[in-house]
Amino acid sequence: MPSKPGNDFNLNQEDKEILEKFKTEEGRQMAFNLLVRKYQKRVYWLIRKMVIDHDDANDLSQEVFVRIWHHLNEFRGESGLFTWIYRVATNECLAYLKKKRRRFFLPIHDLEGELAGKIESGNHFTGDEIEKKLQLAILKLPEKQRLVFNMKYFEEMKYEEMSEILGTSIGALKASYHHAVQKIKNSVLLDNHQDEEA
Amino acid sequence: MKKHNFGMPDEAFFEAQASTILEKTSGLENWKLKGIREPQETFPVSDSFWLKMEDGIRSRINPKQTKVFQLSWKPVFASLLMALTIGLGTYNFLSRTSESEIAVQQLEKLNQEEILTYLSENEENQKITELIAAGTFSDISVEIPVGADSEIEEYIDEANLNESDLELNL
Repeated sequence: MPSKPGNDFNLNQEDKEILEKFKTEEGRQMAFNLLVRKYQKRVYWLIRKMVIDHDDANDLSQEVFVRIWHHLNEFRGESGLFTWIYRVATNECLAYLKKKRRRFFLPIHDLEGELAGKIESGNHFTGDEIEKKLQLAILKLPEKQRLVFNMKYFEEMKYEEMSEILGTSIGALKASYHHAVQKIKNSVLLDNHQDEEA
Repeated sequence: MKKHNFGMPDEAFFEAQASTILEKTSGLENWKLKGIREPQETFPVSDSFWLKMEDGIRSRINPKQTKVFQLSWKPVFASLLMALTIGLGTYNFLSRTSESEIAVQQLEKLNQEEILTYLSENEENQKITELIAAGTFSDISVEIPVGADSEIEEYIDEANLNESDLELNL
């Protein structure tokens, strides 16, 4: 399992070496391979939790790394490398969901319905009942709040880093996360109550 | 500070309130649902996937492996079909032109008298052939001017009619 990304907030030695190698013509490909191996899983899981479908997550992850290949020289080291990569990935992910909704002329709840269907079908999700309930409750959140929840709940990311990635203040992120938790608690409790009544 | 007419709560009230707020927020902050595994365990992915993904990324960024022309069979097939049609059309047109050119060249070698003789003979032969093909020989007799038997024999010879034809039609 990949380590939690909150630990490499600052540019670490390994990332520095990757960036140095990437700047040279002969070391560029090798440095990029190292970068892909190091971050591919975290990027994939961030995207997978948002788009649910494996093929979509794979395509988007590849797109993120192609973008990184073209723009890594523009990285100035003002944040951690992973923070920068995560920012590319979140932007790509949100843009994809927006495009998908526009393409099919679907209002928000229909896209949610489509993603919920994927979870319920069992092809894309193998969790038990409570895990399914949690995922379905997460899907009811607005997309940015979903990102915040996933980052904090599953990846235990620090608010400072989330703030850098999403370009939102720490206070707003805390409020967003608390709202998300409250909604999820209510949704899961409501589901349990309905199950008991049935 | 503005004075209020309401009775002021004591210090303990504010302490209790702050503690409740902190409790609520930290409760939300640290809230976890029991029995939830990491998404890595609940969203299935095959073992070989990570290597495939690496290959996919490499093939998309490596110019050596990137196809310059993305050929798809449909436009290629359509182009070939169009080229073939145009080629055949051109060949047909050119061969027809050359045949007619040869005919013109041959005609140019003939003098005026030969041409007139050829046309008059062919006109009569053509008429007889058409009548035989379309109807009976009796029609021919109507078309052939009544006169000398030798003339009729001459027509028959020229039309290459055999005896069986004559027996059937006369």
